[in-house]
Amino acid sequence: MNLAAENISFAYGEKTVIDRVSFSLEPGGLTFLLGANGAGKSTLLKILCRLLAPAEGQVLLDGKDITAFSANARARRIGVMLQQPLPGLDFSAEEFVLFGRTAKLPRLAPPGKEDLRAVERALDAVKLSSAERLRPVTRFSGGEFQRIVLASVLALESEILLLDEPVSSQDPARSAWIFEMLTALAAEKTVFVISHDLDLALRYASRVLLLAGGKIIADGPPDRVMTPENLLKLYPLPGFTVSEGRSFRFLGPRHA
Amino acid sequence: MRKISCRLLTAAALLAAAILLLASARGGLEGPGADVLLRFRLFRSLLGFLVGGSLALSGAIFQAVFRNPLADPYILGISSGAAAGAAAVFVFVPAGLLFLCVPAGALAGALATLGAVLVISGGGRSADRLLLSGVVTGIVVSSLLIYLISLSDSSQLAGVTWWILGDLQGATPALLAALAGLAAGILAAVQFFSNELNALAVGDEAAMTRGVAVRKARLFFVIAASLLASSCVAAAGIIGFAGLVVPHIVRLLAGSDHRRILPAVFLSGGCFLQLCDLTAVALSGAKETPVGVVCSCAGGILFLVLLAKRRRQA
Repeated sequence: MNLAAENISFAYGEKTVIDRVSFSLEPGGLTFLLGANGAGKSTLLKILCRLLAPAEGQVLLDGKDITAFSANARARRIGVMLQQPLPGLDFSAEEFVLFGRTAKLPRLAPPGKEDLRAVERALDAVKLSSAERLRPVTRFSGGEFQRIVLASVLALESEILLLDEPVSSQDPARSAWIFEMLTALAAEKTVFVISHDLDLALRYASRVLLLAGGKIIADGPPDRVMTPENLLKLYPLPGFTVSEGRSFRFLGPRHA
Repeated sequence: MRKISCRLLTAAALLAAAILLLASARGGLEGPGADVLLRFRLFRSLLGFLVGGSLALSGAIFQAVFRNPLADPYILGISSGAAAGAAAVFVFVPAGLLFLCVPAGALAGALATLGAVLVISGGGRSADRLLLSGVVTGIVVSSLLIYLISLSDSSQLAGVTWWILGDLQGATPALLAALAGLAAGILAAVQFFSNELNALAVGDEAAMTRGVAVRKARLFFVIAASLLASSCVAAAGIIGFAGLVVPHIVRLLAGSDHRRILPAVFLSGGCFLQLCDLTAVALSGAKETPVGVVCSCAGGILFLVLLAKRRRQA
């Protein structure tokens, strides 16, 4: 259950966004990837699950090149949550979550008991009531739909979870319980999270990677990595400083 | 809303299709030539069933592939291509050969349009590109149709117009067997890959993360749905709305999981067109009412009812 990037590079045209990046992910705690907008966080995540092919380097799954696995074998082992637009068709929440198990569903047969139990567990995990499970996903709010998308990834019950901003539309209370749940999962699974929320990273991460200029500029426990100096390198805004206390605050020139 | 069982809907649609087939054979069958008339009516009802089912299945596939509930079997310009092919036959082929050549011309026009769409879109690289290529090709082919109409005399024009309205009178055992074989084969293949269809309906990236080879899958579904639509227009002209409305009704009743609903969509589409044809026959006086007219009218009304229902629920 080990996923590793080895000297990964990637460019959009002339612009290099990932430059010889190496790290490995293992179970035993949440790993956060922090970086500014456009730093290449989502690109890196897509390379890890082979949605994008790196220009250089390779991704290793349990020590083997990820391209040696079939698309279905990869999909069974790596659950991926991306920014998901609302589907055009009126799938119910239950149907939508079941589709998260596409790689494991049988052909020409109804879903098995294990599939239905996995859907049930995933919907319970995101606290969707029985009545809401039959509602079309198009009639949920953005935050509710984001939890349904998360449930569809959890329903796969994969060994590795790659989550791109899983709580960006959640209120603070729901963000906290989702991360409590992910922390519990991370005891046995490899969970990799992209986030912009520094406070959540400080509270729940066991390891933080900082991505800037296409490189990992720091890698380690949050209290060692998330220093004001590093954060200013991560989010360079002229005239801004970082206040350190129980949480991080970026202060403009008027408040510094 | 709790959905009804898909098996129940499938069984009900199958029963309704059988009843409608029997209903088509009732009345006015005394005297000489009764057996010929009976065969004609049964074949016509069966053609309605196969065309309606194929159009509904094609519409359901296109709606999932394009993630667009307004997609119908003709979204890639297939109907314009078929109409141009049929019009070319009416204009350039002697009247005695029309019976054979019109379906062949329509099929050739539809398949040529599909080929052009696939080439222009780079093999269906993205759903948006495919859709745009279809719309543009449809417009170009429509202009060709208008040009062909401008070349036609009054009898040729009447033939083209009647064909475009859609009718089920050309049913023969060979045609029925060909349509049934194609529809059964495509239904089985699409059912086998229905997990992939569901994944595509959620989104390209989501489908890729679920192990689906998105480009190949999209190409397969687009070709399958287009073959269904092409065979229908070749056999019965352009019949609108069945492919748009029936998938909506089935989804409303039985849910949107394509692994379960595809057979029900096919059977319901078949019943819908059989019913429209019976209505067209009942409405016909000295001159026959085209089934395409009844189908578009009934489909339009049903679609408005669905829209109103959605608005109330929203």
